[in-house]
Amino acid sequence: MWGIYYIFYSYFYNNLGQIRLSKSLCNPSCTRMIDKYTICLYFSTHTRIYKIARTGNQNCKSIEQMIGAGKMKQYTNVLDRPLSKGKQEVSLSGFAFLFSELVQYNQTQVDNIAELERRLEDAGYAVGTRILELLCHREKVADSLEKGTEHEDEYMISEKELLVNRFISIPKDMGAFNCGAFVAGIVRGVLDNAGFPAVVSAHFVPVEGLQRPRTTILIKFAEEVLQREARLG
Amino acid sequence: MPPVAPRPGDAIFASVERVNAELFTLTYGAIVRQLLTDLEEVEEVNKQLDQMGYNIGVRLVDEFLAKSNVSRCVDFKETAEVIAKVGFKMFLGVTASVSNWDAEGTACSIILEDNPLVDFVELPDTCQGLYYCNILSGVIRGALEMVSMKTEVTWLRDMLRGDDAFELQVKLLKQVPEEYPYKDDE
Repeated sequence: MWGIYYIFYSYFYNNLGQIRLSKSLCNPSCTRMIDKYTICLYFSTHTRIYKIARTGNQNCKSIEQMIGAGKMKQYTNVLDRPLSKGKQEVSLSGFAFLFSELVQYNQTQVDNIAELERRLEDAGYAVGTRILELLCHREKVADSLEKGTEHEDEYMISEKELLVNRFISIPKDMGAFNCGAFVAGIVRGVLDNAGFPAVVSAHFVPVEGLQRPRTTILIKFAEEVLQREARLG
Repeated sequence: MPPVAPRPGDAIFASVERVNAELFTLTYGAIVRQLLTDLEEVEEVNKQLDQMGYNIGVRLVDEFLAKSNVSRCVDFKETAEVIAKVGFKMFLGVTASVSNWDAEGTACSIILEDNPLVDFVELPDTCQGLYYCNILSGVIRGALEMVSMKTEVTWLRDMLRGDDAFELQVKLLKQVPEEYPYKDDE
């Protein structure tokens, strides 16, 4: 994987005998080897990522000293920033523009609707994976969460005016297409990486009294999830 | 009737609907990821991002003008200031600054300290030529073209490549007077 996103991976360097780790550093969330003599340990305390560097046999140096060396500036930048930026916001229209470009670009790449939905869902899946890691939630809770009546393993999240569908109009010849596929992908990504494999899809549900149909995200959990739930009682 | 004063960027940003910046960041990342998978060439991805930004900019400028009530800018200097202070604030929630004006006042640098597009992003070695935020240069170019200014926007500094800020150079190539599709005397 080409790792354009920084993902916290945890493996523990304990084969470099020169390292003397204090107790608090014994659970780094990530380590990276820069060169033969220098490794960087990154660990997060949920809100902040600290980078401690070690060279050779010496004790941990501070971040500033390592940055002063200059050679790893590219790696230090992302990780030095505090994680707790969950409150930052951008304008809705900015997001809408970006999303519309995503859809338009994918339209040029595919021949039919199903493929387009699939691609959007894959994009959403990638987003969902990372959202889970950031533990990021929107202030607004979805309109309702329901359990499907037909099957034990189906749940539905429905929303009157799904964010991504607000600014998109569907031309007649693409009747069944639903940009909610992107959101479905996000949900699938979150669930998958949280250990709840499921098939997620988005559907339009026409409702009387509302001009635009409601969008429902249908979650169908895999067999093993249900078995697990049964076991856990 | 007195002219309506232009609203400062903060006021507009507070009044528009907002979404979590992380969703925005991750969606943009998904776009770049798709482009890299499809196109594979870094140069092609740069061009495509610029084109996408251009498409956005063309429509974005309408919303910008509608919401911000700015009057016609007297010169390019004012234009750049408005983009940095009002435009960026309104859409991305961050304020940029303008500097490095050249002698004739046709080129300047817009500097971004904070950029929601690049949160949590790191460029791997295989993508070193990628201008990750190239969509922004397209947006500015597209928006200005819709208000009769042909510009060239390039990146001078890029935090993902090790610099300490994002710096865009906006160069005014020419002012294109508006062409009307009809003749006045008909």
